[in-house]
Formats: sequence, structure tokens, C-alpha cells
Amino acid sequence: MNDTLAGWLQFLLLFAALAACYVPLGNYVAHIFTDKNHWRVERGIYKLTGIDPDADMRWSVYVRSILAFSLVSVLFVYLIERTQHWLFWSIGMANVSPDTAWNTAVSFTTNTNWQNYAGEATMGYLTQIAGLMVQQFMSAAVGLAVAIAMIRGFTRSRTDRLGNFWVDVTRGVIRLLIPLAVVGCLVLVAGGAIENFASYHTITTLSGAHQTIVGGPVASQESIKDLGNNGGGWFNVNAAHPFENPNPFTNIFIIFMLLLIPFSTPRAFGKMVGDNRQGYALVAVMVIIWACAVGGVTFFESHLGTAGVGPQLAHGAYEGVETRFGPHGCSLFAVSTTVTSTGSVDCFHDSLTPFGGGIALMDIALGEIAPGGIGAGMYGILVLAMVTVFVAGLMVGRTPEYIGKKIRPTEMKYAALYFLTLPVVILTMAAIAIGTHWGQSGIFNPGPHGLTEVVYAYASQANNNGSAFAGLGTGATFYQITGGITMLLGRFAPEIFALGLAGSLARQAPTPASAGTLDTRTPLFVGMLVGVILILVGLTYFPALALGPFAEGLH
Amino acid sequence: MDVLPGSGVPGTAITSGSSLGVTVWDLFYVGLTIVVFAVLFLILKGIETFER
Repeated sequence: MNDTLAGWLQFLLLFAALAACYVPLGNYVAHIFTDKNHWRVERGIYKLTGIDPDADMRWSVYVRSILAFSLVSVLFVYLIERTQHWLFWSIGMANVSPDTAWNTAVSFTTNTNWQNYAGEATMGYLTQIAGLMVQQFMSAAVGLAVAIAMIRGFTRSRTDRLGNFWVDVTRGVIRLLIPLAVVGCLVLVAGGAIENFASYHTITTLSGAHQTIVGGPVASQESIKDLGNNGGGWFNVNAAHPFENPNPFTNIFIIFMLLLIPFSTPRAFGKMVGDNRQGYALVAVMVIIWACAVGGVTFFESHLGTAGVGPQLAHGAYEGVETRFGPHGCSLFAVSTTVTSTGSVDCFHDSLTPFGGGIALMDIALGEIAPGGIGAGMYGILVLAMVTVFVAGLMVGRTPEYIGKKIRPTEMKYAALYFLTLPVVILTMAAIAIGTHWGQSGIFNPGPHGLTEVVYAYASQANNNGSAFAGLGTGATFYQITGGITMLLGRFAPEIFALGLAGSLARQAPTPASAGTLDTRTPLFVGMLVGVILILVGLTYFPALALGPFAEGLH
Repeated sequence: MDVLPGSGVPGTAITSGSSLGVTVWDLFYVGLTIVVFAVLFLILKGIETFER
């Protein structure tokens, strides 16, 4: 079978599998967060932690709960990393250095999973499980909880209550993430991924060299890291390592897992607002952007774009690409991991062609809304949908309403704050890195490629993606500190504005649709939303894209 | 995804001591965490004030 046919087949197989899960999983997610009853195990947790599960929170209380929980999480993970050598299951690993420990604690708490370390050579088993893996569940559940609270802004009227954060997080973990993660882990183990608590073994190879064979509960972390759009990996090379991603089957299964929940969440949205066609419209936007990005990166990686025939004949496109998966498997993975907030990789993004890498950067710059990170993609695209409705109202005289709620100046102020936060954080941090000695000393590639690496690094961290272009010395203290601040602001500031917007919507009385209401379930609206997304991102990031990947590609 | 240079290289990211320098850095990072979250709480407070 030739590579192109194989590439098409795996894309179509993936699309069919995701389409098959859209309705049942989306309905289940909606059921989880609208169910009046608490499971016995949930009641036990509430009793143990002193939570009143029936308390309904104002949006600001909901935000305070998120911030307080995340603050404690950062400090807890930091403590484990800094003391792991003295704890059990350290497998001989020393305590993690303060800057790496802090950056990592922030990274996993914010669902970013940016890693300035080689996991297999830095973290003990206890840190991996009790510190990092726990956060992979919790941070994913927090993102989903914010999306659900946002949806309640549409479903509720004349109230400022958006639900109970602790109940939403508990249900997200117990009813959704743990069951799916167990199944995912079993499939990965069946596919050949390792899952053990074995010590590392040093063996002598046939040529007489010494090699360390690592162990660890890899499959279980791989499962939740993909399902929760966390990213990173047990190993330094992530899913390019055969213990983590043994073969093409596990490769496509991993891609399936990282797209599964984000692509099903619009169905939950449609179900909760009582109009499934609203969900279909949003998922159509997500699919269009994802499919176009896959096509673009695949084209440039398969044909080398403007790089010429020589490198292609010399298999230049395979530099940095895991040969077991080839350019097609790499391209599909690269796009799927950057349009979600996953960030795990099976090939080096630094080795993508300039335009291929530029698309990966643009995927992240889109705010990861196609389909985006777990929960984060949903509330991101909802804010964009409201902006689109507002723009349509200005252009063609339609009443700015969305799902029975008016989009007034107050809502637009929240939306504007939401979208200004990330560009301000990303471009400011990138400017500081490029303009100071501390940042410049970590840039190992001069010219456009170096600029792309810097912008990509901060875009990835601010959008809580976690993938890196490599080639940048982000282990330096400057990058550890600015990266950590970027991740915290990029995660929580937009959530504050999104929940403020949800609170504002919930306080409104429902507005019945009229002749002047724009129908947001039509292909026209889908096209408008795609256009607004591309224009917003294009206007914001075009200078950086032009000076970075475009300049490099056209050189 | 990881970055190869710097502390991504096995061994360079690792410290096991508990010298005074490390303690100062620990205090710095705990303080930095609290400061960033304080800023986020202030943003929230500002919005609440604006809402009223």
C-alpha cells in the first residue's frame, strides 16, 4: 500500500470512529452534569472533604474555587518533586531542581504539560503518579467544569448561579475520565505499551555498549494524558518512544483518544441547551479547521512544499520524523495535538517544514478551539460564536442573540478581555525573550527559525498546549520563570473572563427567537464562524507568522 | 514534548542537596506562585467591582 493511500485510510478511519462516538459520548457527558443524583462514592468524597454538593455557586465563587484548588495543587506537586528522593518509589531519582520543579508543577496544574526535563531520567514513580498523573486527571476535569458552567450560562435564567465546582470536578473525574482512562490503558497495554513498576535495568548490547532499559506505569499515564489533552509524556521523546507508542495501531488510537472528548463536547452542549443542531454547527467548524490543517501539514511534509526535489529524494522530510509512522502519521498527530491542548508529539515539530510548522503554530494561536482542549475548546468556541453573532448583527442588522441570550456590550467586554489576554501574554513574553540577554542566550537558531521557536514556546505555554519546537534553551531559569507565569496567566485569566461572561448570560431572561434573529444552526453561520476565527487570529499573529515560518519557508 | 538543551539533559536538572541556596529558591518559587495567584484574584475582584 502506498503512503498516500495509507494516510487517507487512517484519516478516514479516525474520522469515522470519532463520528460514531459523537452522539453517545456527548449525550453521556450531558447526562453526567445534569444528573440530579450523586453516586455513592461521590457522596463519600463530599462527606470526607466537607463539601455541600447541593450548594449552587455564583460565577465568582466558582472562579475562586478553581484558583484556590489550583494554587494548592501547584504547591503540592512542587513539594513532591522537591522531596522525591526521600520518598518511596523514587527509583533513585534525586530531588528535582527548584526551577524545573516549579515550572513542571505549574505546567501540570494548568493542563499544559510543558516539560523542561526528560521524564524517564528525572521523575520517580511516586512523582509521576501522585504528582503528575493526579494533575492530569484534575486539570482536565477543571477545564471541563468551566465549559459546563459556561453552558449553564445559556441554560439558566434570572440567576447568578452556575453550579458547584467541586461536584462538577468530582463527576468529571469519576464518571468520565477514570472509566475512559482504564479502557484506554488496557488497549494500549494490549497494543504493546509497558505498564509495570520495574526498576531500570542496564544491559550490555551486542556491540558491547551499555543501555538502560526503563520501566514504569507508562500506559496508564499515556491514556489520561491523551484523554485529558494534557500532553507531554513519560519519555523525553513522548509518543516516538516504542514503550509509549509501540506501533501504528497505538499511534492512531492515541490520536483518537486525544480528539475524543473535545469533539464530543459540542453534542453535550447541544443536548444541554435543548437544540442538537447548535452542537452540529460548532462541531462542523471544528472539523473544517482540523481537516484543513491536517491536509496542509500533510501536503508540506509529504511534498516538502517549497523545499525542492533534492531534499525529498534524499528523504530529507524524514529528519525528526519517527520512521514507524512516516510523514502521514506524523502530520496527523502534529495537527491533532496542536488543535487540541495536548502537546504530546510523535515527531519533532522543529523538524517540520517551515510551512508545516507554521500551521502547527497557527493551530495553537487559534486558541485551540478546533476542537481545543478538554472543556477549554468548548468555552473558547462559544465565546467566538458570540463574537460572530455580534459582528453579524453589526454587518447585516440582525439582533445579536445566541441561544436565546442577548449579546450586549457587557458580554462583548468579557469576550474582548478573553481574546486580548492570550495575545498580550504571548507577544509580550516573546518580545522580552527576544529583546533581552537572558532570552537571547537560549536561542540556538538565529533568524526566522529562532523567532518561530520563541513565539511557538510562549504560544504553546499560554494556550496550555505543551508541545515545543525544541532548539530553544527553555531549561534556563529565565524561560522556566517566564514560561510558568505565561502558563498560569494563559490558563486562568481567560477562565475568569469566560465565567464572568457565563454569569452575565445566566442573569438574563431568555429572549425568544424572532424574525431578526440570526439562525446559528446553518451552514452560513458555520462559514461566518470559521471566517471570524481566521481573521481574528490572522490579524493578531500575522506579523509573527510572517517574520517566522513564512519568511523561512519563502527564503 | 521536551526541549533537549538545558535541564532537559538527564542529570543537569537534578539536585539532591538542601543547601541554603536551594532553600532561598524554594521560597522564591513559593512566593512567586502566591504573587501570580494574587494577581488573578485581584483581576477577579476588579471585575466584581466593575459588575456592581
